[in-house]
Amino acid sequence: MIAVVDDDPEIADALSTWMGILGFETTVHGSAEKLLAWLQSNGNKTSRRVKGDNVSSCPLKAAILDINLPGINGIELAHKLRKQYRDLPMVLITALRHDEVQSLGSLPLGVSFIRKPFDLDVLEGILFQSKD
Amino acid sequence: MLINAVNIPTSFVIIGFLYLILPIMTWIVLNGQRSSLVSLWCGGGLSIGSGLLLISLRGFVPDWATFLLANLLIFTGYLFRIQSLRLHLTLPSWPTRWMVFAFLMFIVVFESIHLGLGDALLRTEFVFLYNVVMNLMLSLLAWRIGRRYGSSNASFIFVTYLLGGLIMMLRLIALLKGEVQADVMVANIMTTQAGIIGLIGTIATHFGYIGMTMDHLVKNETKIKTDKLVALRQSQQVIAQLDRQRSLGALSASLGHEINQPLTAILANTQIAKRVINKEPVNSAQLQNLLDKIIHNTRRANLIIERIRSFIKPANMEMGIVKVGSLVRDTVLYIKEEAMIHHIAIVFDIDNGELLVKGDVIQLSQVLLNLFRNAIEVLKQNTPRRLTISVKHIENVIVTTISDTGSGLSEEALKRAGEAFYTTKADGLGLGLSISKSIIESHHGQLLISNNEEGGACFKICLPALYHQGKLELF
Repeated sequence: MIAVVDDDPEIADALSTWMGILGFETTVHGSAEKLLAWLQSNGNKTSRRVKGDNVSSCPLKAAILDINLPGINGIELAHKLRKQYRDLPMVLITALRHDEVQSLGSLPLGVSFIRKPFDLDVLEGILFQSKD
Repeated sequence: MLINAVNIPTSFVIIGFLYLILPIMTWIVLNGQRSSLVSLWCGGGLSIGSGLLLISLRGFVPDWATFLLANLLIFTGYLFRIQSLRLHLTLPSWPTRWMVFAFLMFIVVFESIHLGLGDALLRTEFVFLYNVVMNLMLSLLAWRIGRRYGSSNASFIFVTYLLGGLIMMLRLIALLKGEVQADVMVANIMTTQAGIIGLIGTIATHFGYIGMTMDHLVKNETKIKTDKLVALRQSQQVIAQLDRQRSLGALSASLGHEINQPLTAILANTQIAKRVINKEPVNSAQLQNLLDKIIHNTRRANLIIERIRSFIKPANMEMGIVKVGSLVRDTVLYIKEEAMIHHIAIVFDIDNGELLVKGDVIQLSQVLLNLFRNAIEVLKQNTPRRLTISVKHIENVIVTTISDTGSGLSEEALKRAGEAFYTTKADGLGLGLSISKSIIESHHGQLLISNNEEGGACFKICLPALYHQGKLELF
């Protein structure tokens, strides 16, 4: 399952279609809060303790997060997800300029952002590079 | 009989005195307009008057005074008056060194004839000659003033000096032919005519001058007023354009983000389509769907460009039916990015149903944008940062309230907000609110400015609702 969070339904839809072609299921949300709520109800089902470690298991294989979201922004969301899921591959997408992204705070370790409009191959490369 | 009726020295005395009194009177009447033009005219008059009095005292004063000095004074008076009329015509005045040169040349010529040649007749001919030239020059200048400014008063000056010039010319011709005596003090038909015309002419020229200056003044004032109005209108346009460009600069970032959204969707869908087309068998339904999305997003991008374009172009009022709720939501898109960067929460409270007004959608969005941007500027420096935008249908009015949690407005600012060029911003022009106010007023609405009870500023845009009591309200 791949999470797509973007408040622009057109982009969310395109990303979801593309993931479908790659053979992934997607869960699409218009805001950070909605994804967090979804994780709350779906994440617990699959959470388990591994060797006494308190890391919850993640129902997601990866997440594509828009930065400019109503409410909690994409960077804050990435920080929250990183806290919970150490190995979750994430990529941030944004129409903001480099300096504008920086002004919003630092990105979690191992998370990078790409600017809209982007090449799907580039996004794919970043998202799945750790798996190759 | 007429010859005997006019005593030549007496008429010189009268004209001389008139030339002293009338310039002073002119000077007093044109009080407040004592520019160099009037000073030259009146000063010239006094000079001529003194010269004429000296001539009338021929026999009682030394020869040098009644001949050389008198003529020098008259000659200088003419020069001053020519200068004055040239200035009225906005021609460049003659340089002072030329005037001094003419003055000195006059003495040299006059005295060489007198002392050098000892020819009294030639001296008189010379006196008439310069009088003819000066009178005709003044008359020509007055004619040009009358034509240029349509001033009928200038024609008094024109006619008087023309007649004066012609009579002197006839006298000169008669002198040259030896028909009359050189001595002006001996009465004959010519000197008598000159005396009468001199009397009437002196009065006519001075009243003509006062009238002409007044005409000129009134016209000038009207012209200055019109020019000012035109300049003001032009500067208002320029300022409005500047303000638009300034806002545009600030907005361009937001608009850039805005247009990247559909472009992202277009690019993604195109790349997906490429993959679909390479996969056998081709899913034509999916391909069709992707192409539809590409078309849809291209139109979306085009709409954004149109919005920018309409913002840059100074548009005339284009009245249409405006959905205020949608307009507010659409306009917020322009500031969404900025609000997010500065952690400003935007809260909507928009009534359901049709919130319709009659108005110019572009102008109204400009007002909203201006108020939103002001609020963001204030909120950047305050916490908490909340911008509440509500649209309510209250009785027959659609009320859009833009309320922030900033520091609010001071009493003076509340009183003066909306006044052109009043600003509390260091880099502000103080035009945003005044333009907004005039736009809302031109929509038969009102822009109310107040402070919230709990702090922060509150702007209310009140516009007449399009439909009320089941009837279409036209205004």
